[in-house]
Amino acid sequence: MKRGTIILLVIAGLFLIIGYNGCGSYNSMVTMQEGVTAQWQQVEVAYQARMDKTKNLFEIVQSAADFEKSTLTAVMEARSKATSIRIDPTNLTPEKMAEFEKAQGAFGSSLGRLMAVAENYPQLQAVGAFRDFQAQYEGMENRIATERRRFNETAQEYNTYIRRFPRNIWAGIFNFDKKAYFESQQGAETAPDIKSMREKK
Amino acid sequence: MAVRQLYNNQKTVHLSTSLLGGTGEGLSLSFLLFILFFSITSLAKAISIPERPTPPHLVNNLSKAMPDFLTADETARLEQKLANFANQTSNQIVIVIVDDLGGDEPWSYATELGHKWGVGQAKFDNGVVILINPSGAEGQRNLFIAVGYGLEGAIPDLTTKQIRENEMYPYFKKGEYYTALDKATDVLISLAKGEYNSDAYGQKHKKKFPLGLIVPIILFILFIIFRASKGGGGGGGLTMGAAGFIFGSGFGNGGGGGFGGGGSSGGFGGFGGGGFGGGGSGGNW
Repeated sequence: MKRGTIILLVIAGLFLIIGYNGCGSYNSMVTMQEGVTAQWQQVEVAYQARMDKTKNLFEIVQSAADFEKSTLTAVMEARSKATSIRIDPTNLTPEKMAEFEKAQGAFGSSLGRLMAVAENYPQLQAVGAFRDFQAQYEGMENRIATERRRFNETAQEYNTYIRRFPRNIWAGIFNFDKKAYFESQQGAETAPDIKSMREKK
Repeated sequence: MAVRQLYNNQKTVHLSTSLLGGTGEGLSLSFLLFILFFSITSLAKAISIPERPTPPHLVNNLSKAMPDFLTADETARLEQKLANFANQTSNQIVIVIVDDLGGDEPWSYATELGHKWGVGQAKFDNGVVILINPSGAEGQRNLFIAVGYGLEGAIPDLTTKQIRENEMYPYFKKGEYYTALDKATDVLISLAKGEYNSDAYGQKHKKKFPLGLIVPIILFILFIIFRASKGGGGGGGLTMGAAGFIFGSGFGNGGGGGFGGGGSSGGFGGFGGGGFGGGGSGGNW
């Protein structure tokens, strides 16, 4: 065999190996990216559930006489702002996520404040529908926290994968971007307080 | 799990930076060691959820402080009941007793444990975790009932609260742990099976008439019936029916205990990979 042919074969072999590696990496990256997208949808479901369940809350609270108007309006405004922010799950930019989180966080903390204030309103505590909501409130916050944590887990797994050598090269070629994480909790921090307040009673 | 570490790391970083800010330039070696130690312990905390037991059990007393939370006989009976239920319906109910939660919130601990162990089937996510932390003073002991994704419809958060309040706390307070768990799992099993729905369970317990009140009520109804029949009106049958209904539901509460188990004696086969998303509720006793 000629020297030239050997070199040619070696180069062809290298290309095959690299190509094979590239395909494998590419497919895994697609799968993992889909995983992140799916988990994002779970996050949205949890947030949406909070939106849906607070729909009737305002009527319930308003019906119970002279509840602090300012607290209630703050929640209503934060809620409508949070409703207006939607994200395309296939295009999760850090800016978009931050915007979404800010709106939801503001809604969450105003809702937390409302629930804390509500502890001082015996008329409200006497309304069955409100007590039912109270029992669900913790669950809503817990579900959001859980899905956020899972999102960070999946995103971290994906980020680690695409940033390792030699996959980072393929990720660069095929435009696989690093995913953003959720910041540490803000809204959910109010939930445990209320819980402990309620359990004491 | 990985992200928990991330979170905790972040916390550690925040704390250490604030500490650094507070002490100014006094950066001694021992201080660095302290930070290092702190971050290591917080990492250790992050992995506080116990490994899945091998061989798998549905009743797991991991408490060293209260090894007799349930007697061997009680454990075996509960295990048998839950194993039968798991084998028949694929729903898995797990009882876990621990000494401490490693600084975690009960809901988070129970949810992560269920998710990590894979309680329930991967396809249906039909698992339930009853987490008990009996150490601590009265009013500081934790109980959490975590419900897998797939059972959130059949067992809503509100219902888990009712189960805790109706079936568990009263017996927990008397130290009758087995009775509490036996009753709670009975209800959970019926709900998961769909034998009755959560609304019916809630209704049953919503207003528990004291038995003493029922007699005057019946007398009152009878009085009305007498009045009505004197007045010559119809509709007496209907009122009579209502009286019967109240009577029936009032005293029907007691029955239905029956004997569980019997039947198949197969043990528990293993966890199926079910997922948990934060459903359920908990509190202290």
